[in-house]
Amino acid sequence: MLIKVILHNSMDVKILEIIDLEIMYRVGRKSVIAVRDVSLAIEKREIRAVVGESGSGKSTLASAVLRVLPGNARIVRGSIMFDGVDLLKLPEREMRRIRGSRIGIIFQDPSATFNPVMRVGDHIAELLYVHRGTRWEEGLKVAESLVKRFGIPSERVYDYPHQLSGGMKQRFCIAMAIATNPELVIADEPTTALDVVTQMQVLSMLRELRDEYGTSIMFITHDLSLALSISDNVTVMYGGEIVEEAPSDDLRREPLHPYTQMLLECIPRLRQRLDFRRFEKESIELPSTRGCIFSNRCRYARERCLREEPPLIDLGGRRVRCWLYE
Amino acid sequence: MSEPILQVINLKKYFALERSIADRLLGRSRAYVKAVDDVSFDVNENEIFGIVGESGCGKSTLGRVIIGLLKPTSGRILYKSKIFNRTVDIASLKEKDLRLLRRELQIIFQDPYSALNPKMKIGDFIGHPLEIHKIATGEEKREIVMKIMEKVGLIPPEEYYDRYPRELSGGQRQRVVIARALILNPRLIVADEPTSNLDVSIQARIIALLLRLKDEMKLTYVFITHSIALAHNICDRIAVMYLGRIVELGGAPSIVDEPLHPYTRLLMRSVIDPDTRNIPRVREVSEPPSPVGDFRGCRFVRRCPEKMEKCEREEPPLVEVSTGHYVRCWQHVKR
Repeated sequence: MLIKVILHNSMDVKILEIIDLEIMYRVGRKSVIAVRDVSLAIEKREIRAVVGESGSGKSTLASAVLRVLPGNARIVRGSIMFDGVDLLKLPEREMRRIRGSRIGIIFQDPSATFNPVMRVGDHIAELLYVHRGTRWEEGLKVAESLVKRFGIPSERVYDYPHQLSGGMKQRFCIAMAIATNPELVIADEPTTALDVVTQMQVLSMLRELRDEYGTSIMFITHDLSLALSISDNVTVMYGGEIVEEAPSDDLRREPLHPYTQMLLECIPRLRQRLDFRRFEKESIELPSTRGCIFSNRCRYARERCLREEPPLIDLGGRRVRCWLYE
Repeated sequence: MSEPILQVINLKKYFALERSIADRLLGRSRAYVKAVDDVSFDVNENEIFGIVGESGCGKSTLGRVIIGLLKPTSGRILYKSKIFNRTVDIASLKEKDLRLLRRELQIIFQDPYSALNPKMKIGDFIGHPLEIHKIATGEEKREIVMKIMEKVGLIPPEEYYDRYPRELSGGQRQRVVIARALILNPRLIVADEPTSNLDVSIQARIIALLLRLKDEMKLTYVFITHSIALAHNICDRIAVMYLGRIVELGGAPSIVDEPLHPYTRLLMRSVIDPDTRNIPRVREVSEPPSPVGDFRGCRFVRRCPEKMEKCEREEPPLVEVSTGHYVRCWQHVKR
């Protein structure tokens, strides 16, 4: 009981705070805004899902936190506070001490993470050697006990990447991401390349990670049902902006932004059959460049929405960017 | 019920693996991947027939074989052709006839990015089959293309005709791919995961488009997907595939309301329901086995939570449990 109280108290400590972030991409001679007016905070022990379509800025956000943005990206303004330090002001040498050590990373494609001529366990040993100075043999032992916790036979540590299935590789990626006991793990579409059944196993592994080690997780996905199932809170992005943010249960029960409502309606379910025909109205798929970014697809759009962009309105415990809630 | 437009009978497609030098020296015989292994089913005219399974189950290979893009190892694919005015066996058709049949049979792939030619204007890309089949060129071609572009929602067509693929969004690219598949007025379309690279809101509109086109153009779809939830939403009947075999087949409602095969139940448990909390529990940790080599017993036995001793030894036959609902599982074989 006492432990629970202490855990609860430490809940309101922020591990990551992104403040007023704006990022642009140079494409040819033009500049495109990828992320705009983004402020979000992730607490310790929190699983935060960031949901959005391709082009919504969710992956740019992840890259910015890890400071691995592509060369044509420019951070226009904002700061990213990690444990009280602004990552954007950190020299690269110090950033390298945080990346992969205090902030773990899990990517979409597990095959790209591994060096094909190294055994999977060596990857973990190398990580521990670089960041902690752990001896290689010892590192392999750590790898063994780590994967065993997640129900993987420890001798698989001595396999080469090609000997593992996609799902097994992704499980090793997770083990690798947490080997250094990071405070925050960024998972960028970690289950997209996996089969539905394997996906479930990876998800419960991530849940375990939070429950047992208290790691905060920033879970980036295009799949709203996935986001709702794994996270405590969901941030919905559209066209580079946050359009809604709420506890997962509230979002599921009562989505406020018309975009979130539309997303929830479109998900095929097993219990009932959707009448897809009603979705075929217009062929617009790109965010609006004037007024509210969703105004050209929104069924509630009024004159003001086309003219004026709404701010992210704070409704106490949740936020929404829509004039309907002013 | 109307006569089927397509009858697939004992279809097999094996891929031979390269033998290493050591294998040759030791006189080991060639290993095969049995991607499609003795599959039979009918597709009725104007229905949506779903094929559901995980990657590696052979569903994409099956889709390519039934429209003649791949030659089967054995088996028959009887197709009721309009052009030939008779039923033809796609498996044994000559190359020249197969090319003619291409007008009636089309395929839509998963990834619209790689299906498009980046250096071709989309209007020309959509109209290309008209030139290949010497149906129309020049102004006449342009007119047919514009009409089909309008049909698939690339509106106004004159604005899109001269654009390049990179200027379009993912959903628009898939519309281009669909337009090209439709330009020759086909009758049967294999849609191989046509929306799995798209976001849900775009997916919904592409599905809506496919459903409208089906009615307007009297199309029949073989819809291949990994998502049993999506298949349940749009298909009339569903075949569940596992390691090259159909393990369950039936009407979409009866498959979902009354799944008989343990694998179908596993697939259903893996669907995340956005309306309830919690990750569905999938206790099973083992990996899907490789499709290489020979099998004894039921193919699902290694992952099956309900396996019996017999399952290891002998493969169950596909039996009809209720009208039109088939399953390949010993639990349902009456002795």
